[in-house]
Amino acid sequence: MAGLAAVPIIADSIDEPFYTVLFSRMLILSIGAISLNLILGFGGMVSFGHAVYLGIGSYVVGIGTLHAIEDGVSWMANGFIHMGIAVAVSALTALIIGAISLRTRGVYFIMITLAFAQMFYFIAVGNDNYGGDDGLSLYTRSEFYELLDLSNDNTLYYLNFIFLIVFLYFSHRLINSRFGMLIRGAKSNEKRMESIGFPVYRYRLVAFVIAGAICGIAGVLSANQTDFVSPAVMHWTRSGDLIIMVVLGGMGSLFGPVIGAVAFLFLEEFLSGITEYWQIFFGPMLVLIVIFGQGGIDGILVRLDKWWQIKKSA
Amino acid sequence: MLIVDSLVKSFGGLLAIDDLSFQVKKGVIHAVIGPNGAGKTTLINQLSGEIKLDSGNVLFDGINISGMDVHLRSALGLARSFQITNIFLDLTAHDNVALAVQAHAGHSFKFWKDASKDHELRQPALEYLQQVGLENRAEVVAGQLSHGEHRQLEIAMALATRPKLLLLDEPMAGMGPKESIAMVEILQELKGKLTILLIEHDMDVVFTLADKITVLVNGRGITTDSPEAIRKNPEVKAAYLGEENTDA
Amino acid sequence: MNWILLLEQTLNGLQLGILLFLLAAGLTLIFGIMDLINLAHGSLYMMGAYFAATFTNWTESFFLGVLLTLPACMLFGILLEIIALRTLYTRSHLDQVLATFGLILFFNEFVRLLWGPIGLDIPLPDILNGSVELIFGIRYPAFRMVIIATGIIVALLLYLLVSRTKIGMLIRAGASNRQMVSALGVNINLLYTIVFGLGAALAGLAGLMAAPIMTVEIGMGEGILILTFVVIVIGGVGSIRGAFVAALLVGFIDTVGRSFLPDILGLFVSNDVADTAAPAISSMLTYVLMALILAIRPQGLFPPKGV
Repeated sequence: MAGLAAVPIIADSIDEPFYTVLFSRMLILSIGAISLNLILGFGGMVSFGHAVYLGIGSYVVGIGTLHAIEDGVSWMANGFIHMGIAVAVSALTALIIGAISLRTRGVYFIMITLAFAQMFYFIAVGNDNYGGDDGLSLYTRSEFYELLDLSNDNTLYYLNFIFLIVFLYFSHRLINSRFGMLIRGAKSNEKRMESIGFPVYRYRLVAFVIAGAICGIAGVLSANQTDFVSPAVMHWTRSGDLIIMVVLGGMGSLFGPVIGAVAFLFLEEFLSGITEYWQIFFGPMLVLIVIFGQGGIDGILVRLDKWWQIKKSA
Repeated sequence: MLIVDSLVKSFGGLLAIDDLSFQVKKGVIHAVIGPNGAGKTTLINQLSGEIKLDSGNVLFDGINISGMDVHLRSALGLARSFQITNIFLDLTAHDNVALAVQAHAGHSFKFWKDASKDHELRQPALEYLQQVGLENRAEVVAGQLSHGEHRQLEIAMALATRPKLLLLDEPMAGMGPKESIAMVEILQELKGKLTILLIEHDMDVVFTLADKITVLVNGRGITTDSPEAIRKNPEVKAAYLGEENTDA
Repeated sequence: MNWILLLEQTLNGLQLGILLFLLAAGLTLIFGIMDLINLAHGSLYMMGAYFAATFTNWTESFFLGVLLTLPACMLFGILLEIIALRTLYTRSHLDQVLATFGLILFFNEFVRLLWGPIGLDIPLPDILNGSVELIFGIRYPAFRMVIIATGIIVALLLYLLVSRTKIGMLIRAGASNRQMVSALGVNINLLYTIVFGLGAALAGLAGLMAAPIMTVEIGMGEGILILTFVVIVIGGVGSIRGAFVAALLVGFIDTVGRSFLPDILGLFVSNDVADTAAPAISSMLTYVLMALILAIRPQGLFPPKGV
């Protein structure tokens, strides 16, 4: 974590600001993955539509700044308002999607969340006023009065960093609270939870909404990072990427999603540096990880640690 | 306490429960016995709400619970244990019972306070573990407990929901003689404090514990009576001895 | 109202529905029998199109190309099942999602490497290139009629296969109760492989029929895959009959909605608003339909018995 805090300083000192941007993306996707981990890792809900909220957050910024610049409605560039609206719209969307899809189980749940995400994708594609398929370039980033100047990449980096820390702490509290115990219990044995008297559905729905709202914030940050908004941010493969990050990092561990997001982007950077066809390696890698790896990277570290302990004591 | 009135349930064309009626009085241990496939587990699943019934009524404490959801029945004071051990294997015994306490300690929209340090949950949970003799195993992960201990833990979890009526689905299944004796002692300890509906194969256990017995054969209740009367009942004997011959 | 257009769009909807059915029939069985969520089913569709393009090119005959494509797809599917998917049956749905997602990435990249990033076209033989006359002098492209006819024939054959043959009986039994089939002492691995191969051939058939009217391109299977999921969810997992009804329903609503919604909206709001709102709303139609059906019947229209 301390290492992450120093990234912009190091990047500036070696004159490679590119690294600040890369790590900034890692932080943002970490937040997205943390939010997904709440429902997927701890709650066992395989939502295949989580990128929708990234999209909602992004479009709030894109649409807001567009009107602020073109129509001169200056409050629409306000970052606090962006955050507020992104959280509200994401939460509401999650409430609707969750209310329908959480009534189902297993493959149904996966397919339905995926289908709804696709619906939002097509809405964005079909909306020509806001760029349709091509997307929108941001004229300006979200404005935070005199407090923050996001046009500076380093400032944005630290904003992302602070949000990451806040959400990490929040999810740490959440998963250990009564609410968190309930969500984890329902993942482990839903039937039993009902028989000891929990109305599981409504708690799951609340978890689903919380996860959506957090991811909405990640969307706001993401739009500011890339200065660009397009339907591609909520393409179904982005939802898949988020799942990969959560699983890669280790499901249901607090720092797992962060590890997963960092590893995912490093892999992408590294493999695409070797070959344009990097996914031809990444795809089968994924299959092998599923078949042979358990507990993701975090799990491997834990196992290595155990092995090391045994070796030391022997 | 519990009135079961003309219960019917069929799966496909197969009649699992056929016009079953009986009553369970408050404070007793009421056993349901019957040969394999008589519909005992189906009955428990219906009483706890996991299976919907086709027709008939179930009255619990004067309230008709026939169409009610599982968690609402639990809120009214109906708890059950499962025939196949059904606990949270990746949590400690203490956590398992604490969850059950939590289920009946108001709503769980509490997002901040650490539940594992919450005395309102932990303290009562420990007391329930004591009641079933598991207090020394409280911090062991449930997956590492023995089979007998799993069953004890199940009872502790059921007790933690502060039930008026406890449905026990073969609590002795798969237990060794020593573990069985311990379980009988636990149940005897509970006798009089709450009402228990017990399904059990081990006849010694049934006759030791039960105040009333209902005999279920092919989904029909052939009689409900005291243990002594059941022992002498020729119909019961025929049902048990001639299991293969009686063709419903 | 323009009745000729309506007829044409209805036929287009039917034709999309047929393609969806060919994809959904195999996929719903794979869900129902193996309890496997296979995202890579769309890749089989894509491979069908690419195989067809290549074989047509080699043999310089569309018909020979088709004849080669079907067994190739089946073989491809069987190999895929044996190499990669077989180990996934006992895994969690999450593992299956990840692994088959990985397969999609692989196949997309593989196709890009082998066939290049630019889309392909399949030239149709003259006999299929014209149009046929329906009633009252209304003409409709011949190839699209062929698609519809082929789809209906395949649906009938599938119906006969599933309802009249021994293997069909096993498939039906497997879709409603998996344990039962293994208890019957059937070679379950072989049954799975056959079902998968059948599903692959159907997906390939859909791909090769779609190829001449849409471009053959990378990722072509993904959008239609998600629409296929909608079909399966609506129809009920494991039900071929449900897949058929739902596929036609979705195909019809999607196509007709897209072409008539601007007009219908125009009756209520100004034309400008209708023109901008219509594309977004029409793309929502099928999903709203799905949501409505699920709200009423969470198991879909035709849930297999015994589940």
